Amino acid sequence: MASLTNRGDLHSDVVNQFIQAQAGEYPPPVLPDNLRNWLAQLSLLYGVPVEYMVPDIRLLPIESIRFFYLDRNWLDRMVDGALSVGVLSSADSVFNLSFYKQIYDEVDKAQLTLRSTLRETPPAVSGEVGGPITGFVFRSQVVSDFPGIEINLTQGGKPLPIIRMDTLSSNTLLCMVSGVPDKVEFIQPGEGLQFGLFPNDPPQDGSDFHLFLRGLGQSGYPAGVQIEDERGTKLRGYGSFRAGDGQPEGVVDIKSLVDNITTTMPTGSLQDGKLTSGGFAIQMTKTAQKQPYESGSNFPPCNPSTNTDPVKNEQ
Amino acid sequence: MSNSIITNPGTVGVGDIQFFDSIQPPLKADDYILTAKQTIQNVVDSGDDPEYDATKKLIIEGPRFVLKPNNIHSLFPPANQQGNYANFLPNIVFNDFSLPWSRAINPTDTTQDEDTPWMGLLTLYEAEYLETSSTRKITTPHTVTTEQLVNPGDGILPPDLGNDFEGNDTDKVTVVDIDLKYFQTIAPKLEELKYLSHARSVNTDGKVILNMDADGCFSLCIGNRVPGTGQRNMALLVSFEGHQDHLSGSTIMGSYTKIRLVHLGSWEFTTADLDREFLNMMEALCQPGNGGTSLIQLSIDKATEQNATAKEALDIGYVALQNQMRIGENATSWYRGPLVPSPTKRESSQLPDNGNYGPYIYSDHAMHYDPGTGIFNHAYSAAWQIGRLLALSDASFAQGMFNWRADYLRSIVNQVKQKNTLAAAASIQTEDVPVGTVNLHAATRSFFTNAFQKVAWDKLKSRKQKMLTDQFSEVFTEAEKKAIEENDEDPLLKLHQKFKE
Repeated sequence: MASLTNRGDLHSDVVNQFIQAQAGEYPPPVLPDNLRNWLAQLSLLYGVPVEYMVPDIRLLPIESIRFFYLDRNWLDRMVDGALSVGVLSSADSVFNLSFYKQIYDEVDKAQLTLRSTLRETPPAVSGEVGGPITGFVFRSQVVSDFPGIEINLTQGGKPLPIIRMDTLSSNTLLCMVSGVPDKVEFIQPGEGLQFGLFPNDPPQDGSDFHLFLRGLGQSGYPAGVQIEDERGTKLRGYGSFRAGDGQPEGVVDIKSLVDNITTTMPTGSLQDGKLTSGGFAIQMTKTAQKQPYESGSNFPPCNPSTNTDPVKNEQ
Repeated sequence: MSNSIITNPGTVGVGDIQFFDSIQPPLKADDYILTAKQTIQNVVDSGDDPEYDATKKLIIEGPRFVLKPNNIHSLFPPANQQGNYANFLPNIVFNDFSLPWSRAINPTDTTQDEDTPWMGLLTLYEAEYLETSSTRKITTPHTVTTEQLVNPGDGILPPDLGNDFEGNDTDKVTVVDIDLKYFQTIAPKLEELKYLSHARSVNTDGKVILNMDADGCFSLCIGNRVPGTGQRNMALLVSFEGHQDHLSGSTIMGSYTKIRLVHLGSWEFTTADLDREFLNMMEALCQPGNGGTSLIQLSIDKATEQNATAKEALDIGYVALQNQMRIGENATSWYRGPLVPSPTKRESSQLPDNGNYGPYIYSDHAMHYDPGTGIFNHAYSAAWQIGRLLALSDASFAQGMFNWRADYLRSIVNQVKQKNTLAAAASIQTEDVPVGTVNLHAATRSFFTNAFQKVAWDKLKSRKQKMLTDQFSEVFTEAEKKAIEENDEDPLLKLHQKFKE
């Protein structure tokens, strides 16, 4: 049959078919899932040596955060390189030339769903396919000390989907997000929620430490939400350590703390006017701290936050 | 709510924690007598209603002198870890959601103080428990018989486990003896004890919360003493059963100097001297000597400031790297990775006349050269190379890519061939003969004849053709020849038949 038609004609017919496929008149090739996910992983820099990302160590000194935009051209070139594998003839080259755009588009789509696929969770609905990708590299002791650190990136108050978040080493975290955030919050992991106190600074008469009191779901005080007055001052409960001759330090006087909380809590916020052990546990839980970086105020230049008062940083 | 068993903990919303004062077991661990009484009424010929009684002894058992490791879900501070725990109270989380209330603190009156746990967490500082310390207040945990637990000897205050409890010589229990006066200063009061345990229900559908990786209920015991800073600390989980009148604030009758406690578990941790709060560590990023927070670019020194090209390059994230050229020359080239400090325009989304080069078939295509400075830019060629190297290093990807491309190319070539054949067949039908009057056999034949007539083939004749045209051309009539041809008959056979006639 091959001799039926002229080779030259066949070649031009195949090229025409390619053109039709490109224009959508003939079914274009469908990138198989495994290849698409592989390319998406590649384009999110999985497996790329850190030296390619941070070619000079001065770009990422110790104890630093470096925010970045992801250069899509760099990613496209990397995909080009991956597509170049197994190109043995001009037909293969023509294939790449014809369909590279479709492959880029497929990879762009898969970038947004890769993380949810890996985590076996439903994909995020937000995120712009092929849109800007930004992120940061965080190299700090914090990464190893707080392994479950949470990152919250928002743009105009709306959360942006994280498309990759991995530790590159024990103390280096890479995070990429779809979109350009105007606020990045580093949140102490929720697993670290423990029972804690805030030492009084400066010391106050009659008490050694304080707590920030929360509502318990009674009479308009939502459960777990810190109670504030109209000026935004948080309601505090005060407690002290046991004192006396031969008293070892650091023993909390639970009774007086419970009494103090009971009397300090607004009227009606305690069921039957009593603090129970569950309510006490809610008051004692020390919430996660968070460090925000905001566009325009402390982002991007390093601006040491002078705000060390936990009252304001408390969420 | 505190008195019912939760059978469906999944009702808590994702990320929420539900707190309970306590989760009571239906019956606390104790000895019970089950009594049944039946009265039969209206019995004929009987003066009064007869009654029948039945009793059954029932023992509810539960952990008492030892806890299984799988009862314990997590510890805080983590065992043998160093960290900033100075302002935190130690706690222990149990998988068994009613464990702290499964037993009454007063074994002789199990219906009292049902919210009061029977165990507690003590925090001891380095100087108070280390064997090498001269001010040691506690003995090393040691194993005694249950008989020795309640009869420890002179000067040691035993738990009051009630008259029903008879220790024996075979059952063993691990105990610690603590200086009584010291114990009373660090132990909670009886009325405080109930605040130091609670239960919580979590839903971990979407998120890991408090390291509890299962849906469900957990119970906790909290210590009442913050750890000492800059030293080792020990958290000691002990049973307070029978010690309800020995806790802090109680007056002890008799000349006791020590108290014997059932040792359920203990762990050590070290509290760091320096402040390692999360926020302080985050703020420390900006202190001198640390990297701070900024965009990913090299800092520009004074010398670079003078050079506009270099300054611009560093500003947009390039670094100058040594480059060994193929011809053996050493040069400095620009490079930058995928992480850049400024947004970039995507080339592939531009129009072809606006810099859209299409895919790069070779990495050399992606090398940039600035004739003005004579400096190469290897950013994209390096990207191309690493993409290719990573693809090659994954055999299954490379194979998959190759097969996918080859399959599609094969399908497209087949499609074109099929199309050409169909077009040819259609043209035969329309040009040569009116549609419908010709059978496929003839159509194909004429198509072949037409297709091949331009070619100067060496025309080979079949045996039949040779016979009919060359050898027996005079034997058969034209009508016979046509019949043989059309009926596809063998000329030799026909010849034989003709002779017979």
